[in-house]
Amino acid sequence: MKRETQTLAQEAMYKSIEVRRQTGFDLKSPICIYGLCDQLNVKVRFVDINSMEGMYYKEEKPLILLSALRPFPRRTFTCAHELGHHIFRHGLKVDELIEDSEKSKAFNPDEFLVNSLAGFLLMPTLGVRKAFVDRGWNVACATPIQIFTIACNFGVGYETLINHMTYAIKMLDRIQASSLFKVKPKIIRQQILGYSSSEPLIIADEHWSIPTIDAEVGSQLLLPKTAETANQNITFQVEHPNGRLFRANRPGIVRVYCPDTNWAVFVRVSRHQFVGLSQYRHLEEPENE
Amino acid sequence: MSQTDKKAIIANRVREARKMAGLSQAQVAKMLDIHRPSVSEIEAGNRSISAQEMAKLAEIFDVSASWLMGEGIEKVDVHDNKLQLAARELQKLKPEDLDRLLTILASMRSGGEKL
Repeated sequence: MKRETQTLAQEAMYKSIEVRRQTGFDLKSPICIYGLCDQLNVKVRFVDINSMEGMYYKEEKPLILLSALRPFPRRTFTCAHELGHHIFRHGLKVDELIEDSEKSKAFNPDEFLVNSLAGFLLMPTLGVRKAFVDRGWNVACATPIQIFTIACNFGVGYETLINHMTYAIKMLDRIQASSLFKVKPKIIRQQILGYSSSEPLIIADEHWSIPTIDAEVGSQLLLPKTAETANQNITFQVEHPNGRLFRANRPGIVRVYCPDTNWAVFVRVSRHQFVGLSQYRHLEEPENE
Repeated sequence: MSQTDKKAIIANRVREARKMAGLSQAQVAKMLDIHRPSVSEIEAGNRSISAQEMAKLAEIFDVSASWLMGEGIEKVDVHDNKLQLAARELQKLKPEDLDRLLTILASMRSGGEKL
């Protein structure tokens, strides 16, 4: 089994490099998975269905269906997972799917393969290393807040990054991982904000390495200390020792910049639990309507 | 089927497709370059849609024009040999959720065409 998983993980890693190269992404930067789907002509639809995570529909016009009711970073990973099925050309008839799933309840190689691919696509080894180096952080003594910050940059969940760093790219040992797992994201949010909050938090520090930040209405964003916004899609809440806290208020795209540095990003806000085609997720409501 | 019935089906499908695409009436109106109340009238079955508008709506909603016009199947047959999926834990999907998924898939098919 171990050998099989190693072979599959290696296959997934090589495939992630091939996909990134073919679609013009470097091997370090975080990617927008929905943009990648678009480039590969795979439509993504968010649906308000609770009893599934996601699904890939293999057809002339391939489609990924994602549950809009899952946490924001979870949707990203599930989308990468389903895209993996597209890349590896998986697809079964419903009867076969049920039979297949019953036969291999313990281990499903296809699912392992696409999970690994999702991990490598979203969190490339070089990119994760670079994220620590750029910030001057030592992986060997990474704190929960540091892991949380880097997870935000890659658009994945805190525990997803720990798992990937432990089992796929082996940057963390199991003892370290176990210790990090004990601190839940809710506690990390409390440590950063100074109060308990159930609303999602995205930290984008001065080392944020892509031109966009994706959020949904209700998300809190901790941005660099001098960050200013060009409109009210996100609004300033409060000053923090580590930056300025904003809240995403309404769908749309807003430029955020620091007048004293070159730091600038576009924050793309979607409706909370947006249901619809991914290309419309940041569409603003027309004025005067 | 009477013209009134046909109009009602089209109106329902336009509304359903718009919601599935995640668009408001105002956003659709802007894309079609018409006034928002016109979209409301279409969805109420009180305004006819030109062939050009129908094609544009199908493109915007990413559904087939024939489905939008009330043709084709309501939902895909789960045992259809050409229906191919990759899905974890399909058994855990509630029957009503599976129905909804099969309805969404049907909207993407051309009229009368089985998968």
